Amino acid sequence: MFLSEAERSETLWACRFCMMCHVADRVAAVLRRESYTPRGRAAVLWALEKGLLDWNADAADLVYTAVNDGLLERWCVGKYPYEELIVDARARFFRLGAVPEEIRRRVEDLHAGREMGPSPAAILGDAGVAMDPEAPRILFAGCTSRRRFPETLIRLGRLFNAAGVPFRVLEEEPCCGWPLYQLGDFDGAGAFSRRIAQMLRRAAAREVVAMDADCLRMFTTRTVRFGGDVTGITFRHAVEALADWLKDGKLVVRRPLPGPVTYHDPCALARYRATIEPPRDILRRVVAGEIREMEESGANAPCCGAGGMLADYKPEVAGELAAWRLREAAETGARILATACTRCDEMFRAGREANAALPPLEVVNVIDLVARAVAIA
Amino acid sequence: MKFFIDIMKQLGYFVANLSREFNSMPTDFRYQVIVNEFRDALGSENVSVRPVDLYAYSMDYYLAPQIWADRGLKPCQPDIVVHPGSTEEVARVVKIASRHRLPVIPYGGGSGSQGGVTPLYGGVVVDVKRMDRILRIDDRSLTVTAQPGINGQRLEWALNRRGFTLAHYPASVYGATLGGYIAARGSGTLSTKYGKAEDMVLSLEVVLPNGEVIRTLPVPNHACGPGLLQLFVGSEGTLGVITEVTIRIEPMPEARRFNAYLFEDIRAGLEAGRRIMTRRLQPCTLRLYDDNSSERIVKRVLGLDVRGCYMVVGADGEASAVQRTLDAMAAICTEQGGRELGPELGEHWWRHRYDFYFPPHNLMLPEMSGTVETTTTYDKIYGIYRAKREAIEEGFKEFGARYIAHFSHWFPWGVMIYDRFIIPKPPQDPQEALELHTMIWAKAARTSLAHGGVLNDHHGIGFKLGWLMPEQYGPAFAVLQAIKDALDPQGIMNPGKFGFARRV
Repeated sequence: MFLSEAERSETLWACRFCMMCHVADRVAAVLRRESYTPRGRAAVLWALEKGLLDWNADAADLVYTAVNDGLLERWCVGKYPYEELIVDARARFFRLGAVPEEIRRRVEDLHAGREMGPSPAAILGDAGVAMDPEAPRILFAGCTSRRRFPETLIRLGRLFNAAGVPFRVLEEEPCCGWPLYQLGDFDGAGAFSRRIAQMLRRAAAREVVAMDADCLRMFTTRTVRFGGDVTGITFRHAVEALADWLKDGKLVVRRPLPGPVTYHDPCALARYRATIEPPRDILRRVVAGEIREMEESGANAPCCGAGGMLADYKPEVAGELAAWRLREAAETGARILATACTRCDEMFRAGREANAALPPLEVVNVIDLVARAVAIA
Repeated sequence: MKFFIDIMKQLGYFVANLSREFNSMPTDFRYQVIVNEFRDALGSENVSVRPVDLYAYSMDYYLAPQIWADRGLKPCQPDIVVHPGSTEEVARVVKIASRHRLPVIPYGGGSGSQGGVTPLYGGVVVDVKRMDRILRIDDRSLTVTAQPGINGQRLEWALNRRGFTLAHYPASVYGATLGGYIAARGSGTLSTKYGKAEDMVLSLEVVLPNGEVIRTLPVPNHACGPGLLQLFVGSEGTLGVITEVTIRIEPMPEARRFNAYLFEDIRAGLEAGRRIMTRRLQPCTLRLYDDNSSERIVKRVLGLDVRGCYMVVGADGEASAVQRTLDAMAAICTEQGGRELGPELGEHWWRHRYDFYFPPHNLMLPEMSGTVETTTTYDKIYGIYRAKREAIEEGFKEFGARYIAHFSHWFPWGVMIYDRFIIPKPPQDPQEALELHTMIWAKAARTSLAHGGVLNDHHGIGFKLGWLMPEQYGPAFAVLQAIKDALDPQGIMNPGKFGFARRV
């Protein structure tokens, strides 16, 4: 468990009767049911502990219907780790075999390596991206990029090449373990963490550049705690690297892009890593027009809907969250919604496709914007 | 003979079992029939009988059910939870419940502190959170019409985007709903200028206990007989379900500024407040903490190291008028011996005004606490403060009782005292804990009544104070009961609350 008994007990104590963060929970706002509020979930967890309710799929449903985006903890004056309480509860349900069927199947898929997409080595190799087999720098694509955004991965590879930064990818890139951790399969997440740490060490990696913000969060905050030894390896996100390269002149903007553009902060970057300025710095360099902020941005940005694996468990709820955020983006008058996480990309694109009534807005990954601006795309 | 007795015993055993079977089967069957009727009316997805849902709707902020739950005991739960999406659906629900004589408990944000939504006798909880649309903003008349389930802060944000404010900032704003504001006669931190919920509301749509839908008159000020509107304001779901609210809004003020003072003596602070109000200076905020409260709450939450009675004053509106009001209040406070702490210590309070209600700052278990607030006129306020402080601190000395108070909602004629008791280590045994809790409440409430106060200013009645309502109203309570009986002869609406006789 990630929370100590004392932390878990204190968080449960604080949250079981409190509704001060209800307004910050967009899942609760979409579902509009007491059971799916932060207090509702905590009260039920309390009742489970007291033996007043059964650890069954109905109770598990409440904790799996959450985005775990850290916004509630940020909102809370007492800073109780609500997200960890929920993940901890998921782990308990998982251990008891009391998870909903959808969750059980998803975990099986992850263990079987299904829906991973082609290997990054194949995607980049086929596209003619130059990789250096001796480079100490690993580009870690992540499953979503491989499966859904191979073109963005190729552009990132070309940006490495254009910046003159040697890199390579793992021969067989495994899952980082983040989905298993979020779904409560801590044994699985531990095994995945140890495996990837071993692969990185074997590859003599010194730096890992992650495309997916959740993978980065896994590496920087969870892998070690799950027993993966990544000593001596630094991790950063692609936008952090790109911001540096633009600043250093390694990448030169040749075709500034028309604005206005707005930017959605992924929770794993803005809230958990305070990576708020680098993507904005990039946008200021590559966009000739205005950068417009949404009302809630930076560390206060709400989840796109993908957080907590909600999109896998309750896609319709996740879709409503995405549509909500898309409306907020459109309200700025921007023509482009820039993102820095492939999971957010996936959510917003799906949200747009599912909702024809939404205002026209192009969803573009910051990587793709940079590629356009430096004229490699 | 023995054979005969054995036969009779066996027959008796058989009959008893048969009887149990017979009694349980139709009950389960009836329950299923009723659930199906609700499903037919609202769609299956809007009706729940899942144990986890029933549990989640079993309590609000009232400490008594919390103590019960804390000690691992099963709280009072509803039998069914429904989620209507429109007035018509609420009406359908109420008609079904009426036909089956099933208790109906309207539910908004569950942020009340009086047990108003506790389903004491089971029944159907009607959660109105799906009814959360803003229907109309009239920017000429400055009103908004919205459904009751809209979250208070979301409504405020929506109004702010249009340049307006509801000017209603209760501590529960992040979880409470508009319907709850009205149903419980709520109050916010700027009530001294903008009034309580009952002062703000213009009109309501209500589903009556027989399922009929009515509207009160479109405006609250008229000479068309007694105020039907106010009959439903504060009725806490005992007379019907509020399904639409039209309420006053305000333009966002050009300026809102604060200042803070420190008084050595609570009487000096109270006198300063009285003078500010009776000179009709219209502060938006006037909040005076007693020494205990300044020590326990202000220091701990705001980090302001003050000894004495901390007072924050505020004014808003047109900038020059704001300055004039602040200057006038400064003169009065200084004249009464208040030491100016400076605007930053007032602004700081405003920025952190809700922090008091987040754990770990709020009063919550394992401490036992209660807000035993009351309102009275200026001539009685100090007397009531003294009497209640003594009643709590002396009356429950053996339990280490502490008393803290602040004066936060001021009227042209008097002020509300927001006073609380704290028992640091209440009994672990739930029955003993509840008995102590009830005794303190009874003592505090009766002290308020005996000294010219009322049972409550803005937290409501629920079942926490319902049992004391006949005592407060005296013979007049029969009038309230008669109204209840006329509107709800079966007594299905939120039974067990308000002191009304139970019929179901």
